[in-house]
Amino acid sequence: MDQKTKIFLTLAVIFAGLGLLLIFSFQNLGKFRLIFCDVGQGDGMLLVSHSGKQIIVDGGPGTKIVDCLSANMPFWDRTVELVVATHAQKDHIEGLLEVLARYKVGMIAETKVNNSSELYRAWQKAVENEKAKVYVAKAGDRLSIDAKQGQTLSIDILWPDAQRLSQWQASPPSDLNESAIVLRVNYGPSTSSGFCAYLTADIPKETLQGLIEKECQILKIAHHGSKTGTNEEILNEVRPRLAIIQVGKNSYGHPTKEVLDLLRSKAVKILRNDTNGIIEIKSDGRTFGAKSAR
Amino acid sequence: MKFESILYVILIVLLGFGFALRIVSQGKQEIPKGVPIKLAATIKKEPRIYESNQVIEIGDGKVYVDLYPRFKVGDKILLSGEVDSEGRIFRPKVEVLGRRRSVSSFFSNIRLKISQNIASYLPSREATIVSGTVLGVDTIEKSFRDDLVKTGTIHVVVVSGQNLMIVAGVFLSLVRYFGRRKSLALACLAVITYAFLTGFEAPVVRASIMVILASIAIYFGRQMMPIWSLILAALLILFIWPQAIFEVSFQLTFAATLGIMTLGSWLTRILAGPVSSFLPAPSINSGQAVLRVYPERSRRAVGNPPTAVTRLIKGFIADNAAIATSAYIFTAPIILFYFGRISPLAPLANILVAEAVFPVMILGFLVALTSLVFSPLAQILSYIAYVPAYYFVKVVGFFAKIPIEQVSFGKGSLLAVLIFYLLIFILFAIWTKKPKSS
Repeated sequence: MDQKTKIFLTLAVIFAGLGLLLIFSFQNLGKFRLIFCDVGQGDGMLLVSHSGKQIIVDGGPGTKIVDCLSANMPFWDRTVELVVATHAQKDHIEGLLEVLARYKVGMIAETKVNNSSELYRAWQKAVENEKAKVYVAKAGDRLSIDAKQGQTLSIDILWPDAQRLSQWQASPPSDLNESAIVLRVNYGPSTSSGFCAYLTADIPKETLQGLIEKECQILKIAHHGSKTGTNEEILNEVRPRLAIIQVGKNSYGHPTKEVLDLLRSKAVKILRNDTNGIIEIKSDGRTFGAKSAR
Repeated sequence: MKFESILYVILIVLLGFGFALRIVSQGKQEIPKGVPIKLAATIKKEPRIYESNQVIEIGDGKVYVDLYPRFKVGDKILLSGEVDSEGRIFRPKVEVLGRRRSVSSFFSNIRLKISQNIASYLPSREATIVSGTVLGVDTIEKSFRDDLVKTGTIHVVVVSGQNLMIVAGVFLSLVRYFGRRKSLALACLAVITYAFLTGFEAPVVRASIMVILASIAIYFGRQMMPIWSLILAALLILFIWPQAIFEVSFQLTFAATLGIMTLGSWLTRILAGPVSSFLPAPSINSGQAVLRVYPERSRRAVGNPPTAVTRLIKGFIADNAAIATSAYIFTAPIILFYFGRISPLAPLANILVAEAVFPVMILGFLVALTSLVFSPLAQILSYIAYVPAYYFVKVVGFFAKIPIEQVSFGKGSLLAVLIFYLLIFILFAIWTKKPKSS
C-alpha cells in the first residue's frame, strides 16, 4: 500500500467516524429538554428546543457549566441562541463568562442592575466583547424561541417590573436577589396549554408569590432551597409535580428542612443536584419525563 | 569508538562537577512569611486556573485570587494581603498597574490565544485533549482531571517529554522525502517551535534539549551510544538548571525517555517479531531504511496489499503499545513516589489512548496555527481532530468508570523507588542477554 492510499484510508476512517457522531447527535432532537447542570452551589440551566436551539439560564460558580454544555450539545454547534443572567452574583454569573469565551452567543438577557464587584466588571467587559444583542429583561415580555412542527417554545418574563427595574438600575437594592429575573418556560401546541416550568433564580418568596398566574409541572425552587424562597402559597398555586433544587456543598444549610418538609407534605417529587447530579427533563409538549445522573 | 568514550567520560565528569558547584550557589526570590505585605510584582508565569480560583506564582509564594478578572503574563500588579507561614496569600487586594511587554509575555499571549480558539471550536473535554497535546494545559476541569489521573493518562495533556518525542518522530519519519540531514534539522526546529508554543518554561526547554540530543543519538545509531547521550543531556540540563533534579517533570521526562530508548526499543523488536515473520526478507543495505526516533517501524518492505494492510495496522499498534508500556513502566516508581497511587489498568488505558495521540497532535498543530490566521479553516480542521479526541475522551471515561482499587503504596519511600528500578533493570538484563552460543 503506498503513502497516498494510507492517507486516503485514514481520512476515510475519520470522516466515517464523524458521520456516525453526527447521527448520534441528531437523535436528541424533536423534544424540548430542560437540563439542570450540576454546577455546585449555584444555578446553571440549559434549555434545548425541539429544533436544537439553546438557551442558558445562569452559569453557576466556577467553570463546571461548560462540561455540562459539552455533554448536552452537538459537538459542531458552537452557538448559544440566548443567555440569561438572572442577577449578578457569583453563583449565577461566574460560569457565564466561560460560556461567552467558548461559545458564540446570539442574545444576552440581563437586568443591568449593578453589583459593584470585580466579577461584575469582568462580566460587563465580556458582554461588550461578545458583541451580542443585549436585552434588558422586564416583566410582561414574551420571548418566542422556537415554533416548528406545530410546537412552540416561549419564555415569559415575570420579574422584575419596569418601574422597579429603573429604580434599581439607578441604585441597586440592598439584597440583589430581589432584582433577579424570574421566568416561565412554556412548551406545547399553544402557549396557554402544555408543559411549563417556573425558573425562579434567588427571588424572595414574598415576591414570587405574586407572580404565579398558572399551574406548572416543574418548579425550580428559589434560592437553592433556602427558606427565604418558598412558602405554602407558592406551592398551592403552582401545584408542581416535580421540584428541582439546584444546590451543592454549602455552609448556609441549603436546602432547609422547612422547604423539604413543605414539599414532602404536598407530595411533590424532589430532585436535587447535590444528590442526583445532572437532572434532565424531556417533554413532548404534553407529558414530561425526568432522569438524573445518580 | 575509544576516542568517543573518553570524550564522553570527560564531558560527564566536567558537567557533574559543574552541577555540584552550581547547586551550592542556588537561590530563589523569597517573599516574607507570616506577615501582612504590600508588594509590587510582574507576573512571570502563566497563572494556573482551577475550578474556582486562579493561582499566581510570585517568587516562592503563591497568590490565590478569584477566577475573574483574569491575569496574564507581563501584568504588573500591586498586592496587599497577608502571607501565611507557607508563603500563600489568599484573596488579597490586587490592583493592575500596567503591562510589561517581553518575549515571554508575547509567546504567552499567543499560547493563550490558541487555547482560547481551540476552546471555542470544540466541546470542553475534547478541547482539553487537543490543546493539551499541542500546548500542554494547566486548566483541566476537575472531574476530567480526576479521570485522567485515575487512568494514568494525565501525562498526555500536560507537556511531557513523550509529546516532544512524538513531534520529533513525525519529522524524522520524513527522512525518505528530505534525506537525513534535512529531516533531522526539521525535527529539531519542530521541537523548538513546540517549546516556544508551550511557553518556553524551564521544564519544556529541558525536555527539548533531552529529546533533541536523544533523537540525534538514536538517529546516528550505535556509534553515539544513545543512553550515554541521554545521561549527557540530563547532566547538561542540570548544569544550567540545577534545581531541576528535584522537579517531578524533569524526573518523569528522563525516566520516560530512558524507558522508550531501552525497554521500548527492545519491546518493539519483540512485538514486531511475529509481524515481521510474515514479511519477505528485508533487503539488506538498501540505503532507504527509514530511521525514526522510535525504534523503526516494521513496515519497510512493500508486500502484497492485503498483508501490507495487516502489517501496517499491526506495526502501528505494536509500536504505540511498546512506547506506551515502556514509558509507563519506567515512570511508575516516580509516580508512586510523589502521588502514592496508580491504577493497575493504566497500562491498558495508555496503550489504547496512545493510538489517538499521534493524529490529535498533528491535527492539533494545524488547528493551532491556522486558528491564528484563518479561523473558518481551523474550525473545519478541528472537526476532524474531534474524532480521535472523542475516542481519547471515551477511553479515559470508560476506564475511569471501572471500579477497581488503585494500588497505593510507596508514597515518599525512596527505598521502594530504588528497589523498583533495580528490579526493572535486573529483569531487563535477564531478558535482553544474548545466549552464549550465538
